[in-house]
Amino acid sequence: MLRFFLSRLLSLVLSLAVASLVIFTVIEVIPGDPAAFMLGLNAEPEAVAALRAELGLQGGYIDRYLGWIGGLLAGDFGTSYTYRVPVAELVAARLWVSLPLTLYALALSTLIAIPVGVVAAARRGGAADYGIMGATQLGIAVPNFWFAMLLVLVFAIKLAWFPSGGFPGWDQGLWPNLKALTLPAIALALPQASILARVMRSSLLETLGQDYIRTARAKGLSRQAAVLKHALRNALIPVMTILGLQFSFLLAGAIIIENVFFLPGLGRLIFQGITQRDLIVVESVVMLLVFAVILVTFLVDLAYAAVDPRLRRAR
Amino acid sequence: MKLPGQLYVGAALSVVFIAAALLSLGWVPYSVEGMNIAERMQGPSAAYWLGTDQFGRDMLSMLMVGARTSIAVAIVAVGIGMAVGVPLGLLAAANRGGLVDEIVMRGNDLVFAFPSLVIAILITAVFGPSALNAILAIGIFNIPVFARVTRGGALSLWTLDYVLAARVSGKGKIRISAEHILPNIANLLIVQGTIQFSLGILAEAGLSYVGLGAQPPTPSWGRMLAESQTLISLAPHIAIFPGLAIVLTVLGLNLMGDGLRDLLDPRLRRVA
Amino acid sequence: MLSVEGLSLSIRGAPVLSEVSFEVRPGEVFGLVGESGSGKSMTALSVMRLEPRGAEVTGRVVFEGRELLREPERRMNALRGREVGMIFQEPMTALNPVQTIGAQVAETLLVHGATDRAGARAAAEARLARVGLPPERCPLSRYPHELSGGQRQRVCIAMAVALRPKLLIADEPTTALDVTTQAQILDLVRGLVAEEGMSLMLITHDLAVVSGMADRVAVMKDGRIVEQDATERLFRGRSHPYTEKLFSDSAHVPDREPHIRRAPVLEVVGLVREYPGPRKGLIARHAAVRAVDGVDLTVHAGESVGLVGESGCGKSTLTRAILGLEGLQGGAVRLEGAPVVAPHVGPEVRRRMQVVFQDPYGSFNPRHRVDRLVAEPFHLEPVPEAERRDRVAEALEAVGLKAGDGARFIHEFSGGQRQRIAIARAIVIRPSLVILDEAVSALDVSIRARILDLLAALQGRFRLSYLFISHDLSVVRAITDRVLVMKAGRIVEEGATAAVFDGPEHPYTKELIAAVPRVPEGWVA
Repeated sequence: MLRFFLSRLLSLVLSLAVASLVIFTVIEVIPGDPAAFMLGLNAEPEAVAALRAELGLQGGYIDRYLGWIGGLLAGDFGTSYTYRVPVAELVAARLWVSLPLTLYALALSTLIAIPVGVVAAARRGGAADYGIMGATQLGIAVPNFWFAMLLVLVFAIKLAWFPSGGFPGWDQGLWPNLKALTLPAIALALPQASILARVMRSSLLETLGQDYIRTARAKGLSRQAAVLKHALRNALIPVMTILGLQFSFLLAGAIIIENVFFLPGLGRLIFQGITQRDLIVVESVVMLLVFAVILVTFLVDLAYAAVDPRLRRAR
Repeated sequence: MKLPGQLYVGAALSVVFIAAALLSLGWVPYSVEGMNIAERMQGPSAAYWLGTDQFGRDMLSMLMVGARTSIAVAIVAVGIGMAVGVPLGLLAAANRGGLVDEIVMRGNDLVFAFPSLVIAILITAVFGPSALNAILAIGIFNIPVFARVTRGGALSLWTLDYVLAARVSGKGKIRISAEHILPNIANLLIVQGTIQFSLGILAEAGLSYVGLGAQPPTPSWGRMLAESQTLISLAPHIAIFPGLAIVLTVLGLNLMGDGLRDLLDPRLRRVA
Repeated sequence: MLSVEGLSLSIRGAPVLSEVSFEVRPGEVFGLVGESGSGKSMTALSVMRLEPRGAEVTGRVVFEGRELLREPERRMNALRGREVGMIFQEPMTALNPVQTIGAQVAETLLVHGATDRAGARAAAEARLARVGLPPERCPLSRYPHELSGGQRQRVCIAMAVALRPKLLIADEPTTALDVTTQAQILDLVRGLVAEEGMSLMLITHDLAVVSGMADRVAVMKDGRIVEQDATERLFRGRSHPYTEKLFSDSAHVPDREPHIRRAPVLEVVGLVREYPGPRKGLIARHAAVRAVDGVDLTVHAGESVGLVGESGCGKSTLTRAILGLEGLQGGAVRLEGAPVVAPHVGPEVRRRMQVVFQDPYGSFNPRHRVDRLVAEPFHLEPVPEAERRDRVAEALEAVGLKAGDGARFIHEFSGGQRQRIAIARAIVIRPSLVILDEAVSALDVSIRARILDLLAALQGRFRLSYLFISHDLSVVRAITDRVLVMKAGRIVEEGATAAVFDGPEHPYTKELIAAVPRVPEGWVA
């Protein structure tokens, strides 16, 4: 078990190292001189030189890369050129919108999808199954940001049950913020829940065909007990893979959907960063997103080992 | 589960949108270039079947031209994914457990850590926004998907006796991959291709919506939605029709993919 | 105790069982014998009321005075596991991979409310010890993947008999196991049945197994029972022609007139094949695993040599090494004097040996027509198109098919026909040596007998040498001149087939031969 954990941890660190190298190369090596790039074509050479000094862009690529990584590890993400404040501060504030939104959506998606998938599998070929499969087929096809716009039209503009956008801030208490995040979370969660429910259904159906389910029935377990005690845990293994992938889709989706609801999250920060050519901000936020995805992959691997004893020794 | 005729429904929907995109190359009901402020934000009518947008352009024409962008981006992105991913997957499977396999799989994991939105952000930050960026971002994201599907399918075939028989007949790895492996995973790739095609359309819409994809004046479903957002309570049809176009296209492709899977599934065929 | 009367079962209109009637008396072992597809497993599942969805069952199944086909599902649940236990063929997949074996055995007790958790645990421990898995050697906390096939089947047995049911149904319980393991499991089952006074319904395709176990036997064919009687009387009488055929086919020895010349075709000298050990730390590995450890083997022209061994003994690895598909860590392989060195074996060497595999379903690319499949070895020997066609037709006819079958696809052929096509593919370029890798193991006895005849005829006609690799001792005995016994990567005994089988010298060979179930001598005459 410890060996498994260590090998996964090593792979986590390696992935992060390679990913950071890729990001660094795209942002700081490919444009040539990032300082000149950020200031545009008409910049004075003196201004470019000053910015280069300010951003710490002197020195070789290797030194700069190591410096950047060292800074990240120490919590120093550099200083934003446009905002003139440490990027770490900017990111921290935005993260408190994007991360709760993603987790809220992930929780909704899981809570909806798993029971729905189980019901569809249990009633295979019945009306409930057809209904669920039809609805999820539609759910998969809906772009989440468009669904968000429709939700705003109906529940914010017409019915006025929820705010149509904006974010009060966590100092205003839990409830107003939760309310502000509810429509975005639903918009994010439903398409993903559709996928997850289908995976849950097919995984459970496949497990139900396994020999050990027949063994369990021969022991005297009812059909329902065999599903709950033997099939479900085995069926969750592929579902976890999808859940891990969904985190990255939800995170990306959150970044897009923040635009619909005018949420001050990472998405707004990064798109401003792009338009204002604030490469330091872009670099930091992208690194953070990639870190989150790799971290979730690591956690899913650990969860696998918790569920499936066959994986604890191997790999 | 098999919905009756889902393959036909799916294929019909897909054909409608692809035909609309092709038709728009030669003919659209109204030009999408000029503005016509007098006719702006009109609801559906006999003259404008789907109404007009905030600049008075015909929505139907805009959607037809937008379909072109979406479909072109998605197809080229699937092409990139297949052209790079399938050979990598075949190579990895042929050298199972070897260095090549390890490199391909680690590379795969690395690309998986970059959602297509993040790739698009990186490319756009350095090269500026364009439809080409969207193609590249989605295409790069597709590479590990196809590599993984190919490798998985190929690995199970490499254990089969007919591959051993081919090796005993002196055939090399490349020849076996081309002759015995690829044709037998073609079904898998067709189905995955359809899925990635529909995902590509969704992704393109998302990227254009946040301004990382197609740029004005190229009409695109995602951008039409972005521009309609502030007008949604005034003229909901401007926001609803592009979204419906996306939903119906993606739905059609997914239904077609599922139908193809049922049709091509070797397990179902073996019974027959 | 169990009486089945006129049991018929159809799935979506297709009949699977028709008018099956038999009874199992208290304390007796009842054998149900038949080839694959005869309906014997479906009969067992119908008794348990675990038939597949969409199956229509009619007739009567009376267990201890209760009509099971009329019992509500709730009462069937109470009956399964408590009064009737069942074990299945595939121990590798019959256990839940994510639950410990202790929990799975204890579940039988818990689900019937027989005892509390602690009691169930203790009982599970006792039952596992009874089936040969004492806690000090095999703790309850083990997971199925940590056990061998034989051990898993023991767990399944412990689970099935945990509540001391009155009837145990065993569906091919040893078919997936090696012969020595099979003997142990059959001993265990026999002992349990006698000790607890259970009745046993034993389902098998193997006449020898049933002859050693059952008091009474029924023979099934195409969903019907063709004959049933007390075991000895049935075996001696064989009054039904199908029973007689089953008998003669399973003991079939093809007519062979070996013309062995002294020239060696295949020479294997000191062959060593190692695999890297499993990872120990992040980088370090355990010592390499020697799958084949210094094997010497010679096949002469016109000779049939058998290589027998149980699963994991290294015979598959040896096969791949001989075929030049994997590199060696020591020793050499020579084919008619020419070295076989992986990975680049020249076509002039390769064309002298071909192979027939076990699985008649996985041996062919489903997308190619039969003539293209059979012609594949011509990759090694450029031959004009017309001659190629003639030789493919000739090969197809030689294996008992028609030349016109070349235009068909593989899925149009049965398992036995496919094995004929595999043989056609192997002989089409006239190799000197054909390696038969478990080539008849997946076939029913009647088809197996015909394929053995075919192999014997082809050997004379095309002057072939055979290397016959199998775990099935009776087949090896029937068709080989010389035999080698392999264990843990080494050859432990070698000699003329009859001599080795009649007077084995190495203890392992003795154990192996003693483990083979056989019909008592007097019964067959």
